[in-house]
Amino acid sequence: MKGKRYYLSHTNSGKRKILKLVLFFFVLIPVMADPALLSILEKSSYTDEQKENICEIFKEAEVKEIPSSLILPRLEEGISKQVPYNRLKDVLVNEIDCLVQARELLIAVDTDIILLKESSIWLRTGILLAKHIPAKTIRAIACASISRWEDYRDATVLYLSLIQWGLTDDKALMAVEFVLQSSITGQDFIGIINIFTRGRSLHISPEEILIRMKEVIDDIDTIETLEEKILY
Amino acid sequence: MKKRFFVLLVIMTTISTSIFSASPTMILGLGAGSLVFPYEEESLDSDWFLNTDALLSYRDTLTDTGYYSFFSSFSAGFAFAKPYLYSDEEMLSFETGFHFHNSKLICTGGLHSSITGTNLVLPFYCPEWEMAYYFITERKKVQPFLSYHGYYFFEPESKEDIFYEGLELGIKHRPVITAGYGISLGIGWENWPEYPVYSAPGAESDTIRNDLLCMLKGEIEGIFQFFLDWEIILSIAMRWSNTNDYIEEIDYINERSEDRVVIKVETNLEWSPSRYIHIKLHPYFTPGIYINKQAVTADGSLKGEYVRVYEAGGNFHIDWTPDNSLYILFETEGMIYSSNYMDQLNWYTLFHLGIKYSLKF
Repeated sequence: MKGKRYYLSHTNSGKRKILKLVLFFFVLIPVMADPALLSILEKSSYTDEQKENICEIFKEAEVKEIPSSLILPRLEEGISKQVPYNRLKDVLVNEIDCLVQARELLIAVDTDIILLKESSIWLRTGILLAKHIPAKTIRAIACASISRWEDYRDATVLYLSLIQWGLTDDKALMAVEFVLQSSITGQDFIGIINIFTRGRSLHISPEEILIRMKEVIDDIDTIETLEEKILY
Repeated sequence: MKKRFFVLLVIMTTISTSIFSASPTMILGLGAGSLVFPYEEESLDSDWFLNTDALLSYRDTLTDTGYYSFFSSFSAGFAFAKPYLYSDEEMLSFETGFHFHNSKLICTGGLHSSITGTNLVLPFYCPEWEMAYYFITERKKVQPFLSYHGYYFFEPESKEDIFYEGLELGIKHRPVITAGYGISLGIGWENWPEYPVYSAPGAESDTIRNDLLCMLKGEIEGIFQFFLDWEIILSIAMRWSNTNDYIEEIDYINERSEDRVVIKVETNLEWSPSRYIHIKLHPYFTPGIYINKQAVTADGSLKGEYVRVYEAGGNFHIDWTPDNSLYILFETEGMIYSSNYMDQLNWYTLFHLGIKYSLKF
């Protein structure tokens, strides 16, 4: 009797599993139509129900016209780090919200921007919003980057580094705007941080550096010239 | 011995003052510390000291063509030793840079002095001058440069005045903002107009000491994680001199006693993790090999081997400022020197706590 009950329960559980698999692969696949998502989910240890919910989140993103390619890396990261399902779900939902906001912000700044083509800018803006950087600050950096979107990422890295170093939001933003006004290339923006740290060792305050930067920035074309004009 | 270390101490506290600062700026400093050193055998001694320094600097840009800066500093120290020791040191310098299309010329001049000196280190005056020309200033390209450097080290109360002139030819290259390197070859000449050169044991000749110096230097530098500047320098210096060394105890002349090869490995690290903190670390190691100089024992007899010297040391500096006006700093420095010449082994450690106040005009 005991053995029979066990057999029945075992058989039912097996059937349920088969049913779920059938539902997942034969019903959801055509809806999702994203092999990349499926392939990533296959590697995860989430339950089938959780996988279905994740697929739902991606469907909602599609409805909001957020390409799955922008959120797939976050899912991949979560799976590789074995992030608990509830946390991952919150992160994905938040990321989609941030990307929606980022799109609105970027289109308001530059009506000509084609975000699908400039997905790295879109994604970067979404990340900044997710880091709780004020929207007005991001808008200001984006405004200053309109004619040089290729340096937008480096400009935001500069901003974040200066904040981390201890500058206030308005001063960090001022530095970024000055630099974007110059001909200094984005890959050299790290040199700006170095001007602040070297200035610190020479007893030149960040405020003084900003004043000097404002005075000379219009004539600057390289980071070395700027450094020389400010520190010596 | 104590007095010599005290002089080192004063020099150290002066050197730790920044060479350039905002314009026009005055920085006033006050500090106290302790110097620990060996006393006789297997025993330690220490001296407490007070020091003060003042620095005045001014810099400005020259419209479209470059910049100029002026810097002066004065420092004085007082040690609670027996007898009391004091020292002073002054520096004056001027630098200007001019740009010509894609090249630049930098000229510097200055005077380094100690008016009173101490009982062991005599008063000195040392005017210095340098001109460096960078043929290309574009960082991503290899930048060749040529520099000329000279000084006259004048000690009115000794016979160790030195007149030096030298040329350095090299390249600098920083292909990416976060990493670069440099290589240079320097050649110099030292003239010691009053230094004794012996023609026979105990007999000074009319020959004037002349030294030829040659140095090959390589360095790599970079920025790590935005806030850390690092630099590693390796140099090999050779000296050929016509002077000799007279060992009175055994009435012996060691010919060409100053010919030597000195290697120096050093690192400079500067880290400012936040606008309030600044940290510097500078360790170095310098072995030296004398080519002709015979090592002697403490009583003056020849050991049958050439002189070897080893020096290792470094300094550490940390300062904190709440407002970019007041700086609270802690410094420590140490050095150990060993040589088979008279079996010397010297070392010292120094701790220094101070404040600086920066005034802008």
